[in-house]
Amino acid sequence: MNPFTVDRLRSWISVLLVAGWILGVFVTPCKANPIAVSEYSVKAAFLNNFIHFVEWPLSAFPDPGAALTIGVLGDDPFGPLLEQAVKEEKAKGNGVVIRRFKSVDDVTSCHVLFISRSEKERMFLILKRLEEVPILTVSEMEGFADHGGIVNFYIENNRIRFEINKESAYRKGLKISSRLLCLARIVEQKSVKEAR
Amino acid sequence: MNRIKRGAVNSGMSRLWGWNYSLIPTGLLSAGMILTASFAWASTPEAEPGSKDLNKLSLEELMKVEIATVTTASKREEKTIEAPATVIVITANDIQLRGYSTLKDVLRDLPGMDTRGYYFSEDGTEVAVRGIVGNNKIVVLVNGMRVNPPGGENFPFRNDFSVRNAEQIEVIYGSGSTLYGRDAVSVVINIITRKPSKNAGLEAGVAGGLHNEREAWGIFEGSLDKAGNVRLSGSLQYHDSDLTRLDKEYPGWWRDHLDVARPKGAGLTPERHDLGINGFMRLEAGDFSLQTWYRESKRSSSESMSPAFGYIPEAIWEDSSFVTEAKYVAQISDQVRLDSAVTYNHYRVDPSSRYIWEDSTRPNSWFYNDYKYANGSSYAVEETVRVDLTKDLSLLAGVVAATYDVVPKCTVPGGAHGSLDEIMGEGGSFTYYMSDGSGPYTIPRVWHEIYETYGGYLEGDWQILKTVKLIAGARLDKDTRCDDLSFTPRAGLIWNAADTLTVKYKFATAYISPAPYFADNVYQNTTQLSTVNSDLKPETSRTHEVDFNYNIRNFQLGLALYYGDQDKLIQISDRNLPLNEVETVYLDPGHTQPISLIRSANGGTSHNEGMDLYGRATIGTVSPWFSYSYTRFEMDCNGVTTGLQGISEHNGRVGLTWAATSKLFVTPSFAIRSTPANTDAGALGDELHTPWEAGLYVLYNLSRSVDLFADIRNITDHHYALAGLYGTAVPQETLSGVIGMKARF
Repeated sequence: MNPFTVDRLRSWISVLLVAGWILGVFVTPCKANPIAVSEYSVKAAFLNNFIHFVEWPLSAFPDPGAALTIGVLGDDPFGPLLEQAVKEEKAKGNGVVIRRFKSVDDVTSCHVLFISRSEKERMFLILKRLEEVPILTVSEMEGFADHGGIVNFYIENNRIRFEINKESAYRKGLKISSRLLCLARIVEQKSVKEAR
Repeated sequence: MNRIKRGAVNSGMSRLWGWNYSLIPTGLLSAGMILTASFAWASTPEAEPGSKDLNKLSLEELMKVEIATVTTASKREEKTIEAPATVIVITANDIQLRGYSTLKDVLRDLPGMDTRGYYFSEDGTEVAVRGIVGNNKIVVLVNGMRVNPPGGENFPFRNDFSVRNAEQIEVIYGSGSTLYGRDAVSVVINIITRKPSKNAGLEAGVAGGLHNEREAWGIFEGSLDKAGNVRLSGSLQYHDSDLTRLDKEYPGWWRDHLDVARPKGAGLTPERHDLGINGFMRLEAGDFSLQTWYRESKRSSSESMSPAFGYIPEAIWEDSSFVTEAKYVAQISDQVRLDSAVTYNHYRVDPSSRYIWEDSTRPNSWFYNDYKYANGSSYAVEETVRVDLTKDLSLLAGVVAATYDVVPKCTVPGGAHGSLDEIMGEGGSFTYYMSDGSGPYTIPRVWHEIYETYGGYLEGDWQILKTVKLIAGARLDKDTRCDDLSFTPRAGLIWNAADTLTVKYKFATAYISPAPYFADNVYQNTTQLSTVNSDLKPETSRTHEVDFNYNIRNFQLGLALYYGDQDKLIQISDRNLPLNEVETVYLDPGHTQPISLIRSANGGTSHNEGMDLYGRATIGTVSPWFSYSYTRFEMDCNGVTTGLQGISEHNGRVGLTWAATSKLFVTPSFAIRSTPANTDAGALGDELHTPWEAGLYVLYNLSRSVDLFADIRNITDHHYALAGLYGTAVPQETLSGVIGMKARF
């Protein structure tokens, strides 16, 4: 290699490295960014996780060996992601079953129900129909938890967060773990008047 | 209720190293084995957000996971729909459910891409993007580290680029030199690998099937200290195949080959092999990372030119790449971040590589082309600083310096051995005489280039209104071989027209450096003698693009309209255009052996225009996707206008993944394209008409840690052909496929 070329390159490298690395010595550590994944793969993982932090009344299971059912009401945003999320649960204990419902009238023997945005117009009706039923209702619509839904997803700083309406869960006979509540934003039930 | 217990497994690593990987550099291997051995004390019970299996994460960890963003379009994290370009993201989930094994499998399914298998041994699959042909116009990154060969060679897409370890693949369409420098003309592809976890983990898989296709891979991750501050991940893939025999599948085409081969006494048995090895390792320690990527390929050089090109066992093309990068990220304050990276990149063509083709002057023998050789390396240093001036305004600035030491592809009659000086001596030179009687003149067969490049760029990102963002930037590059600077600006406007609709406009520019691969292209065949051209200039391009992105609930739709133009086109010497011809010279002083002296040269302009319409949805247990691409291309050179260069005007793809049960995932796919333009059909006239192919991938979760899969390509055994390097039709793979299994521990 031509010595002149080597010298010039060394100078460049020296200047750049010294500038970069010395500055680095005095800085706050920067954690590398986590790899981003699709919104619904994360929400599916949350749904799969929720079942470990909720206790259902015995009446919610027709027999002791019954599987736990996760349902999706309305347009399904998950596709195969939900099946993937629960595949390990399925192999254990009584297992988990995924069901999809077109109408709230079809919802039977379900333990977790994700209510799709497509049901926004019918949200109050659905919540009213399920008011006394021991189903953990989950959605991603503004005002869902305020108006009687139990868990509502929202996005903050590119991360999935959720809010919980404890009162609503209590009315349905569901017991939510304090660990889950600690991570949630707790919302109060709005009165019927406010809801209207 | 049961809780998920996540136990770390750190045994079984050694099994990963049981494969035949004798061609991998000893240093890389030793480092890998030493580091792997240190997993013994590495495990901790917590998983890390961002690892592939979200379902193993706790609630707290899930809350740290960021949702769909890209980092390649602006060298910063941003939502896909707000990136200043058409961006397609292929996630780890897509890779798993569609059964992608190598990068070329992914590209085949993307809008705007026209992929042609068996195009040429050096390139493997040719990837034309939006009408622009040339793998040298594509920049490929691994976690932001550039892995293109340093001599400007066409990027090889073969079985030597695994995506088994990819967390996300970001594909940024259009000119991209403002941030990525030379050669970012048609697309920038960034393969982002899985982030190393604190937990020790291992995935291993094997597959085998038709045409003796075999694949084995392993992926590992874990910590080297108990606190999990020093983490290591890596992968290794071996993939080989005999490819389709082609004699029974394409009998007419094979008869043409035999007519040539019989008098020559060889090449009567189909012989095609394709072997690829790809390894990757990444070490993370706080803000410091060190990553190394290695690939190598050994492939029959039996592709493209005509049926008579190859099928001789000695016709082999073998090459390898080794790239390593050390990077330090310094968050100087909440507003200022500095990235420092040093990269070493090495590419080498094995001296046993050669082509063998029909010798038209001697009917009873093949033309054994002299052995090929190439060897190039580069060192690059890049400093990038991002400053968030206000909540709505940020600046990105970078400087890059690199040095190149390149022996471009050349021929050495007896094969290259020893040091570079010895190889240059072995190569000798070509001698010729001019028609005026002067001479002899000599051209060294082995050329050696040392040069440097320097560059700097600045880009601003301004959120003008709540719904409107503007980006504007520019870059200057200096190549010490060229007098002129390369100036590559870009600008973009992103408008969130509604909650569900984003509209973008982008203007961007790019250039291709006069790489030694083109400028110093020295060889001799039966009719031509190719010499160097030290005056070769950068080829330049500009792109205008309008994008519409519509997202509603479970449906995403994108429409991209583009227009691009290119000038100072680098016309490689064997394109046989008038501008390539220097003059007729003679190999002997008596002027009895005339030969055409040629060289690569700049000339002509071209433009491309078209649209890509693409979408995906989730409907119940089904996730369909589709794309339709339309492209036009015209090149004007020496008063002659030509159209699309062997590719198709229309390309369509459709597929879906169906979760038949919670354990069974079925993914059929279908691709069709219009008859490739400007292609010499030869004996493949029927096969060239409207090529199409159907595939099927089935994944079955046998247990928590074991998956079975079957991948069937061209399931209907449809015979079709596409254009090869010289515009002649090349048969494509017929029915093929593998069955396999993978296990995670």
